[in-house]
Amino acid sequence: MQIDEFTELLDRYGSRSEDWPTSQRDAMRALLSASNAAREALHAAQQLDVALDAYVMQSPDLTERIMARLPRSRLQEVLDWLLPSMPSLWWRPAFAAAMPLLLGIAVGATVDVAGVDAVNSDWDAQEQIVLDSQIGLIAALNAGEGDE
Amino acid sequence: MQPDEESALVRAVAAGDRDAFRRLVQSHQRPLLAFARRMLQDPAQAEDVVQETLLRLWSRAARFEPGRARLTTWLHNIARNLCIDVLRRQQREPGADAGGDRGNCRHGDPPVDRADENADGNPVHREERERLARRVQSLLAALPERQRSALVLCHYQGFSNREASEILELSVDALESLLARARRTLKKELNADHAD
Repeated sequence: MQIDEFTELLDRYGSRSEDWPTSQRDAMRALLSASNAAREALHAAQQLDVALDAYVMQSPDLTERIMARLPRSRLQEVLDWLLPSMPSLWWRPAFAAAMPLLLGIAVGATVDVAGVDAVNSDWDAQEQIVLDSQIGLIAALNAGEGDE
Repeated sequence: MQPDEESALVRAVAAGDRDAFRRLVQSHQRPLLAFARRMLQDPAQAEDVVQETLLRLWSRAARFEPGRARLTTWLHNIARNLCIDVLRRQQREPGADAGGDRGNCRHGDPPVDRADENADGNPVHREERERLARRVQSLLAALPERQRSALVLCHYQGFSNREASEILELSVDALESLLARARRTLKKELNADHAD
């Protein structure tokens, strides 16, 4: 390996020998042991890696922001429509399942029971009138038969 | 995360599993954000790119083929293309995406907190590291996009030259040519700094 080829490979693979193709490593080491110019080129490549490594950064956690941007499921849309202000997710389905029961309780608590009784009373009165008229008719018929 | 586990999670995401998606987001968002920030030099835009990249994982998970590429390679390819869109937009509308009220920290956000050592084994002082970080940041920003992508993917993201070539959709030889040009430019500029 010549120095020009070595510097070209340094630029392609960097200063870490483990990043080099295995087929080139022995020739690289042989050149380094024999050439000051090769050692200087390696040193320059290592200095570049140190400079690049200085540029580190801390990254914020974006998980919740990304999850919040997921499109909502159909069930979630229905629940949001039903219960727009509930913050907790897990008991929303339970609450939605209990809606028929709550509706029944609400109806039972608000319908006028006296009105229902009044309707029932009307039916009883009408039934009594019919019965009375039938009894009257039978009595009249019986009286007619006696006259004969 | 093991590749098999990751593939299973991607299949679950394709079926609409939000918990699986959350695990993949937690696993991939930080490397993607580091990549996007080094590509764009703008934290706010980098965060937008990462969010969009991972939302595409949600919507396109069924298209991922584990046999063809690692998930991280696939995601970096998406992120890189989104970065290119942002850079093109910046070129078309100079100043429109340059931060302003979005909190851009261009050239001002290299928090260096790692105890690096230089090649001679001497500790590099914090102040010197921060100066160096800012210089590298500006030098990277000045590189052509493809050279910057190649260097960031191989040096910072830890991809092999072959994987980086897949992300950039280039031959390995073309990728290595980009890397060589990028490294030569940076060495020349840093040497010039030392000479001054």
